[in-house]
Amino acid sequence: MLEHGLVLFHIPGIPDFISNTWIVMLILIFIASKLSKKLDLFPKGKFLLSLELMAKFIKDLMEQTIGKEKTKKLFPFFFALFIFILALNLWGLIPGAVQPTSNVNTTLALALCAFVLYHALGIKYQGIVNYIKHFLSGPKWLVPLMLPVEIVSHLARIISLSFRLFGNMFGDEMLVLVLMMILPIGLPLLGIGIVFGNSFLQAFIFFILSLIYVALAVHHEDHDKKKENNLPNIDLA
Amino acid sequence: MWKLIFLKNKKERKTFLKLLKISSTITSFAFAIIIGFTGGYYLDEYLNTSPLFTLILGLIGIIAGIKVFLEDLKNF
Repeated sequence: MLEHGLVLFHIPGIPDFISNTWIVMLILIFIASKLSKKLDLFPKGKFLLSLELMAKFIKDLMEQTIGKEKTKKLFPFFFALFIFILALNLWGLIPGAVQPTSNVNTTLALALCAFVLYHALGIKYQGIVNYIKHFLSGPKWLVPLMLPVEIVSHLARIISLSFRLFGNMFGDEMLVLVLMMILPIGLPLLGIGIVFGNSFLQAFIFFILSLIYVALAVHHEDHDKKKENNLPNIDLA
Repeated sequence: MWKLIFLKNKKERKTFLKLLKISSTITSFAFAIIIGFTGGYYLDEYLNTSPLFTLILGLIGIIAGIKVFLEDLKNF
């Protein structure tokens, strides 16, 4: 939005969206280190309480989707992902700051994190041989066709994940810009309100879709076990 | 929408999550086809074999899209 004007945290030779991402990371690390010292059974302060509420909401959703055991292991990653995306989205509300998520490189990097995670979990829970077998499912003569089909279908997942976040945040930024061009006083507030609301929604959507992909990787394993034990299939979501 | 997300009613929350799944399925379906065709197009441009790879990878993209769609449909 302000690429040709004043940009905060501009480091020569480094793209602005990267320098802004670093600043957000530093702020989050600083807040997390400060808050971790204040942890208590009965937390004090509105900020800590609201964070705990958010953490509980995410934990509940994860338990419903992937079960309690896996939630214990995966909660730090997913909560960090949610908070990081939310912070990156909200960063755009600061005048002069560049919103990192309105650049496709940031969103693609975030989607790659989710992509690597769900494949790593698939390999961990199923073993590398069984996991590769999933890619080559079907009759033997279909294997040469199924491999590129599987690769394209998995690529489609990360690209849809990253483009959804990028498109939404970039569109929001453009909306604020257009409103600013129409009437610079008052009217952009409407756009800023939309950016604020959409920041939460997009962070949530990114988190829940990554979670669903992980659940699907885990689901394959459960599904196979149920087949072996002749148990009925249970809906996960 | 916010009411649905924060609603404690499990049925409504499930419906919302299913809607999200459907939206993800549809975009994945579209992107699978786009990846197939654009990959094929650039490969053809690079190898001067137009329209061979556009058709082959486009077809693979369509099959991948349908596969994603059917796989996700199974899990609803």
